[in-house]
Amino acid sequence: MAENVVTIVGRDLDGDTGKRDLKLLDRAQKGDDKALFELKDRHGNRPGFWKEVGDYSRHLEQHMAKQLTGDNGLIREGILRKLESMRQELTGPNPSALEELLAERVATCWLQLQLAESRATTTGLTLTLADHYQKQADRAHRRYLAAIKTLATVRRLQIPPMQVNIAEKQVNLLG
Amino acid sequence: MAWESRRGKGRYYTRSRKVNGRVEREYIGSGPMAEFQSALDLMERWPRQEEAYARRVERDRMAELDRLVADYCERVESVACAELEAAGYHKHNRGEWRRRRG
Repeated sequence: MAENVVTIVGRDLDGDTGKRDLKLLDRAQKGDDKALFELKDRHGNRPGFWKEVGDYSRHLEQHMAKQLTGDNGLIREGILRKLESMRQELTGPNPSALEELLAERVATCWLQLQLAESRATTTGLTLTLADHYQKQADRAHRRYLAAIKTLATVRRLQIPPMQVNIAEKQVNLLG
Repeated sequence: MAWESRRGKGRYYTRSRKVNGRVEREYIGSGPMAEFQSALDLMERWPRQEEAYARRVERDRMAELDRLVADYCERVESVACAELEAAGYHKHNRGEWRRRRG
């Protein structure tokens, strides 16, 4: 998964500076401490840069999207954009940090489910391998549903109490 | 398909195949012709072996991904549980989340 950090961060980097940074990123990923030090020096005060480098779920997504689409960069970009819009739809306008995290997980699980199902439906597999992939797809499906459920639970529990007054009697509907 | 020897003497090339559910071994022989046949068989098997290898690599890669996603999900779930507990909720009978009384 190492090359994906470069891919993600590389989107924001243009020109000669960008190329230099890409080289540094590449070297740092291979364990070059000098390159890491230089990166810290250059981007120490850019939280967005480090947030993206350390975004584990995005790395997973990049990796899975590559597995799913092979060399087809166009479809891969489409999938990554779909994930982005999925995250935005799930989080809504003013999400809490936890909601963001949970929405991220739903998107990641959705992508893994697509990947697992695509493998499970590949033609020409041996029975053992087909069974193996089917079990993987089942696990991915369970995780996806669990991710949605937790997000829904957090949303439900954080809804502020809603009060309705009926004939001067207060009725709590939620909360 | 293999080279065998009987009581440590000589080398014989044989082929195994399934006929009506039973394994039958076909004796090919020894010497240059057997060597030649063995090389031909190897060439014929090569693409299948390569394909099988590619499938194993892909299976391992998918298994690793499965493990990574499961790990990630578990960690996010534990964060969510911790936050809900901190907000005064508990899991009733390991099922739904309820607010603690008092």
